[in-house]
Amino acid sequence: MYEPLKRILAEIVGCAPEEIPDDAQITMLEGWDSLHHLEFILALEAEFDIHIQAEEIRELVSLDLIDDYVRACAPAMSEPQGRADGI
Amino acid sequence: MRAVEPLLEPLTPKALAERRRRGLALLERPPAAPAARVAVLSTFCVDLLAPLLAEALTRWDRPASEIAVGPFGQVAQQLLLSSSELYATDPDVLLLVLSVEDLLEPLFAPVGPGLPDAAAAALVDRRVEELCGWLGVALGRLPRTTCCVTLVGPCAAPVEQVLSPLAPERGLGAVLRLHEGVRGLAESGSRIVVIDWEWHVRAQGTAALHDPRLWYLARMRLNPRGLATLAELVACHLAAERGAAYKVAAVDLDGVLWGGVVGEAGVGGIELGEEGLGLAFQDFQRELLRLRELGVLLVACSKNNPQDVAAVFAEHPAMVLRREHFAAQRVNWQDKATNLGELARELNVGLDSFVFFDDSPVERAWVRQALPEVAVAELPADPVARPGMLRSCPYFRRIVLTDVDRGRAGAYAVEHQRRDLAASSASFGQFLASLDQQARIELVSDATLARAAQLCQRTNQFNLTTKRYSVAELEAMRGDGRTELYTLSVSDRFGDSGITGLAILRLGEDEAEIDTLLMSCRVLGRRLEDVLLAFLAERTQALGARFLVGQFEPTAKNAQVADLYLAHRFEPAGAGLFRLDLQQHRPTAPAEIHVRVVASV
Repeated sequence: MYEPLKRILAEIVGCAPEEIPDDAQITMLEGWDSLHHLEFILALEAEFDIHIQAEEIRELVSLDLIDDYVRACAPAMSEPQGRADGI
Repeated sequence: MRAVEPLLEPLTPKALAERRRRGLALLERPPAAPAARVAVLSTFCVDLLAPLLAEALTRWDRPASEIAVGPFGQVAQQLLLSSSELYATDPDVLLLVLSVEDLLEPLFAPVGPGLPDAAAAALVDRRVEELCGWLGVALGRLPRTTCCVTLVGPCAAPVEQVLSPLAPERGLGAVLRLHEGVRGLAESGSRIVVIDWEWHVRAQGTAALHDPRLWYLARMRLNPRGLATLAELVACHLAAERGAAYKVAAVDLDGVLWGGVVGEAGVGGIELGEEGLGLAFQDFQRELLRLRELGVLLVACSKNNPQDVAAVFAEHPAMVLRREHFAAQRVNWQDKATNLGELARELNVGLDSFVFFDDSPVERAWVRQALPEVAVAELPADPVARPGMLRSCPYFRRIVLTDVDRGRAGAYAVEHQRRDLAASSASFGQFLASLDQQARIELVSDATLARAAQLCQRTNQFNLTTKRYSVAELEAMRGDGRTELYTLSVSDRFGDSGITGLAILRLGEDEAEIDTLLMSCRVLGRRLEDVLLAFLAERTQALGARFLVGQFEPTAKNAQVADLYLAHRFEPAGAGLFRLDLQQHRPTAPAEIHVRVVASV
């Protein structure tokens, strides 16, 4: 689950996407700091073409919360290509 | 040679994410040498710059092995303390990112008495003086480092509610004075490159490059788009500093210099004039003419009947470009890749110095496929967009113009006359004598350093070792006490070619080694290499050494000099080295060339 999110996260932390568990609290990842968090948020924004309010930034701390958020903002972009095309 | 994307193109979020991703991968696996170590110091947080800068530098052919972003707001400490992280990094490139709001903090403080004009001006002068002093210290300690300086901002005036530009509350006088002061840093040393941020980002608008969330949450004054823009500007300036610009603009004619097809519409039927679309084509010609004045060679490459094209040049009253503005041309029905290859041979310039401008996507695709080394410009389909595109396209950028750049186009016209003389001479010796060549050999000076570095960067064919020295590296060599750098200037009965050769001699115990020996393709085949070798031999003996050692480092392009040292009776000494015992043989300069050595050693 959450493959696109894990891929982005893995780049920032410098690990393999598979090493990130589905129930990860991202702020608890090793070496995580506020700059990583901001970098992650900016990467999400670029990837899904969304804008996240400053207040919400600090609340997006787990993969399921982030996934819900991204889907609510940009449903077509976060779903696999096949379904978006109605196939 | 250089994968250039249009400078400051609008970056979509996807493109931005892609650049960042490529940059992260590059930082993860830095390229093998030669790669630059880069240190970044700033007055605000730019911690997210590294991947974007790594990506831009690689795309502009200057990969980084390391990008160390220092703690922000500690510019003075990092520059002044010899124990700082900056000096531990020992960078090849130092990037200094300053913001107006940070440097003039008392002026921009949201509450307080404000600053009267005189006090603001005094504050600015103090800041500029400090900066100048700090940079002096840093560049003194880092003798090979190039320093890029940029001043960002301000986003808004200290007080926006007062509208008069002269009102002291707006602080405009101080802001302009500060920008002027930072621009002036470029004059305080040849290794300081000032990036005029505010000017370059005008088209994007500063608002697009800032993000209040990032300021409040992380003290970042630039958003990722702003950082990507900064990275692009830094990479482009460093490329220009290396003199890595393209040399030739190869242009199609129909649909590019004028609208329509002259072979069908006739001279009177093409679109070219003082109004409407005709003016857009005319302005495109004006931009080409401007490039020519900047030292870019224009060549025409067109599928056309030569007589139709000749008629346009001779008869159309609205033509800006004349036949003599083109250094060479191919107007025929051959395919364009073949024509470009012929043009490159005729001008004695590599195809990787060519930028190709054609309105046909098919021709562009063909050239791109057949000649991957040629840069193919994405000419906008709409002619009105083309003058602006040509004006700001990144291919021909340089930091400053040298006299050689200014005279280049004229020099190529003269070369044609020289060739006619060669054709009419009975022997090579007679041709050489009738050229009446004057060779001048001089120690590299402050005034000629930029040209010397440009030759290192741009000379491919007659270049024995192809070492791409920068201004900073040459300057360091000049001062090391064991290296002598000489330029060769040539003039003949047709004119002055200026500085067209460089030799770097490194002194050892009993021998002197030729670290670099190169000549511009414009003066090849005139036995000037004999002049240089004779001089280097003489110099070696004057310094008390017995052997002159040369090196040949083969590249894809310098095969013509593979046997240079053997031909001058050097003995192979292994590992690409050649050695000449000056007690056995001393090379002499050809009697037909008048040599003047004005080096005061």
